[in-house]
Amino acid sequence: MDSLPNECLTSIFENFENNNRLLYKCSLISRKWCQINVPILWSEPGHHFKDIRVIEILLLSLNDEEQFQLVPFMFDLPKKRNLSFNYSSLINSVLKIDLNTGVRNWLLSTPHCNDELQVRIVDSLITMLLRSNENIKRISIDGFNTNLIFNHIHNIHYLDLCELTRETVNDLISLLNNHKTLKTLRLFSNRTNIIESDQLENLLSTITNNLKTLYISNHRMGRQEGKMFAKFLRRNTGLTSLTLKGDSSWDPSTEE
Amino acid sequence: MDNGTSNSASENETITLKSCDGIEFHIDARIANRYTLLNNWNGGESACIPNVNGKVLEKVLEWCEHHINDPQLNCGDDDSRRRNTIIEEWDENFLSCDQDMLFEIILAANYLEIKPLLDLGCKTVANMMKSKSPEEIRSAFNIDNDYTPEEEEQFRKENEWAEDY
Repeated sequence: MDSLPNECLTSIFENFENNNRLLYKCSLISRKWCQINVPILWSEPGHHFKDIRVIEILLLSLNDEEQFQLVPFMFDLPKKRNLSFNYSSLINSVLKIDLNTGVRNWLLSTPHCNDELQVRIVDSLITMLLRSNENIKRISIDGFNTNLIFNHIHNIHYLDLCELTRETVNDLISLLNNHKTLKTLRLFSNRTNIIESDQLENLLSTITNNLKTLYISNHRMGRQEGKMFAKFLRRNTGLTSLTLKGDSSWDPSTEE
Repeated sequence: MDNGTSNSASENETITLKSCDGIEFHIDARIANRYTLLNNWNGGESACIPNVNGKVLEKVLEWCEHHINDPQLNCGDDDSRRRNTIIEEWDENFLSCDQDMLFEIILAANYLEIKPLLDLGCKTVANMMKSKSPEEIRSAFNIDNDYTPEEEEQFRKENEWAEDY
């Protein structure tokens, strides 16, 4: 077994992707196996990021500036200690909904539980994760404080945004102007017409040919917007999937 | 005969490969075309494969010959290939060899970039670990535990959450 190079050991352990128990077990075998397994174990956050033990590890990774944002709330962060790995740098996806649950669970175990603190901690953790790993590939967030979060994005392939506001869409347009690596963009909202017509034209014009998947939910599309999408589709030949969910007052079959 | 770099080798065309210990194998040219074995074949009558001995090369070529008509996968199929946990009966029997040979086959498949055989070997080793405890894995693969007790305790504390998911 010692004769196998790390790349072969990685191929072996990748068979355990999504099986944290097996990855953890193999990490305990030796230091070498640990070095290979831990990046796989921590790469994709799943339900375990709702676990307060994981949130505690992430809180230990906040730098002084990120901790400073939390000072007004006068609560105690976990006691500073050295970690075996820089775990936060191994995380490739930021899923805000799971972080929200994890932070809420963690706060419930302290005397400091309140909604505003929860929001601030989650924002600090997202900032920290984006700082720790410039190669984060997937971000799934809501439309709050996007300006702050987008400023820390370096290189992104997959973006989910929900609860959009006009400001969020403007932030998104700025992001797309600066980052051409995006391959999947999914926009969700509970209310209709999440993107106004003038913004839609701007948004579609900033999307590069690298984008493969575009999903917009709850979007009521009129004739004018239909034409915008037609123009977009003629230009963006790299797109392989377009989903527009919602009411449509425009019937494409009547368009000349 | 062309220089072997095209994919149009016919069924009757053969090439000769030589292992690092000098053993020659006459193989269907379509096998060489399919895998990067050809990288080591410079268009002459025979190609010498360094780093792979005759015993291992024979096994690797046996596998390639059996799978010569398998559909070729694209690079983008990597994930789906890995997620496929089923090992066919022939492959299972083929890899029911001693552990040293299994690791040699994995090494050769990695060196020769025969991805499906590499995946198969890795999957076989992974399956051998699944039901074993850490101590049984160390014993089966002859691995020393080089953690200090303090290191191991700290690592366990930081990652014990993984046992619950």
